[in-house]
Amino acid sequence: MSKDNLQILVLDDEPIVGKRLKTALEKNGHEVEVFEDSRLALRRLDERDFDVIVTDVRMEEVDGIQVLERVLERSARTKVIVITGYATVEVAREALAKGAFDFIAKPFKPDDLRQVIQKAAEALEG
Amino acid sequence: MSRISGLLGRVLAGPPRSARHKLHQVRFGRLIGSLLRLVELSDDASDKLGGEWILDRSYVASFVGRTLDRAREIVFDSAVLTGDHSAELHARLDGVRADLDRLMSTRSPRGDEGATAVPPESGENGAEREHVEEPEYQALRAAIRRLALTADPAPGSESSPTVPRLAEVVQEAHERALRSFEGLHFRSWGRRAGSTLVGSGFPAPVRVVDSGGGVAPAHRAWGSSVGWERVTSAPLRALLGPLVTSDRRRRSSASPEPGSFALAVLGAGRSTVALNWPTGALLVDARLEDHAVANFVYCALRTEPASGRRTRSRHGDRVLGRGKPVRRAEGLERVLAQSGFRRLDLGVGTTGWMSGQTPDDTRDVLGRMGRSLETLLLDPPSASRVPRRPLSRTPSGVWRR
Repeated sequence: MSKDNLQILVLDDEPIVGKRLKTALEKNGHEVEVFEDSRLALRRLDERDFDVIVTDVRMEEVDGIQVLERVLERSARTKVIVITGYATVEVAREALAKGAFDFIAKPFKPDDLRQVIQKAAEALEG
Repeated sequence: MSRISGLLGRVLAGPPRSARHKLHQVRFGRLIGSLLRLVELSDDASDKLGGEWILDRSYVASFVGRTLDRAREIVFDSAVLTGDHSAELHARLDGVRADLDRLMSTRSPRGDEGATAVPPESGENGAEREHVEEPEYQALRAAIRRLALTADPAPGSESSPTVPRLAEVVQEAHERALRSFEGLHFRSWGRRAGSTLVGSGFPAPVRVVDSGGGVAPAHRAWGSSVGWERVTSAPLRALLGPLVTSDRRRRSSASPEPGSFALAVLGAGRSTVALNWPTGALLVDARLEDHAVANFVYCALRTEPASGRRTRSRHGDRVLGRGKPVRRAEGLERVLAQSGFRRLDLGVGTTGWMSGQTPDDTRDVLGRMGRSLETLLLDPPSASRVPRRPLSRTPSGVWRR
């Protein structure tokens, strides 16, 4: 696995987020799959492993915290980065306490996420 | 009997007037604070629109909600200052809100907004391609267009007189609040009760109302004069200090224009100065404290009569500002430009503010403003120095020849 070729799953019910992140992260050589429906994303997670999961917190049906728990049950090495438009200390603390690798608040710039993913890649290599 | 009646008059007139000034000062300060936050919100949204930000509908909704909340506060504070309900302004605000609700309720903005082409980016084959801006960004652009205070809030957007704009409501509320606040000052000047004359040979008489900590305690007795050295309000000292030091030079060169006066409401770290002269008026509200985050300087300069009220001066009655030239505003305009003031189109001659400066920087800006005030208060320059063409105001509020 190379730092420049991570398998990344992006989950956000706002289409614009997945669309923009896919473009931005693929430019860095990563392979990116985007989901707007958390149930479909969980089904995909059952099929294969990803290096990094980027997930929104507030979603209908299955929220980001539940996705985080499900991912870590299946693959402890996967790094989960939580993004949300409802950035609060409590949400961040809960996500980090439950094993999230990092936390990023909307709105954000692709470079902000790239830096976090870079750290995740280094952690995966270590 | 007359001494008893005088004492009674002071007891009855002094403290309540001071308290009313303080309440007005606090309320006006809140209004300015809301204006500042409105501008910050608009700046932030414009930044999000112009940069590579990833945002969603929740950001747009949050921007709209917070902006309208601030506008509602401005209208409310204005209504308190003017003593009316400002029902018309609230109704217009409701109109802006309804228009934005309609806008936000659809994923894609209405047809009149149009699709906006964003800068081209490289496609998979390396070729340049354009794509249509996503609905979230279109919605944000449309919201900024309706909510920003600046004349050209969203570059690239078309102006339309049918779109209700928040700026018109805020301008009206600000204008009413300003006139009400100035009116209180002018009435206080006329009655003089509750204020103290500062005896330091300023270009024009200066009276102060102490709202707490602005004047040394032993010298707060209303009705008497107080020496400049007893004025403890930091922003007022920074603003008017230069006029004190240049007093000798001024006396040798020119005399104050009859009818000019200033009244200041003072706290230790806050001063609100209403400066009035026959061709205009200036309100400077400033906070100068140790913590930069608290500091701000706001000014509203009129080059037309502030209230139309008659004021009695030692030269007799005169109506404030009838047909006088506005060229002396240039000096203050220059200070605002050089000091990095944020200029706002608020329906008043010139409105600007700056905030978050260090105490030294705030003191410096106020000092420069103070030096420019001299040109506002003194007699107009001689004919040889008068510009050949009169000044006119541009749509952005800048006076140009």
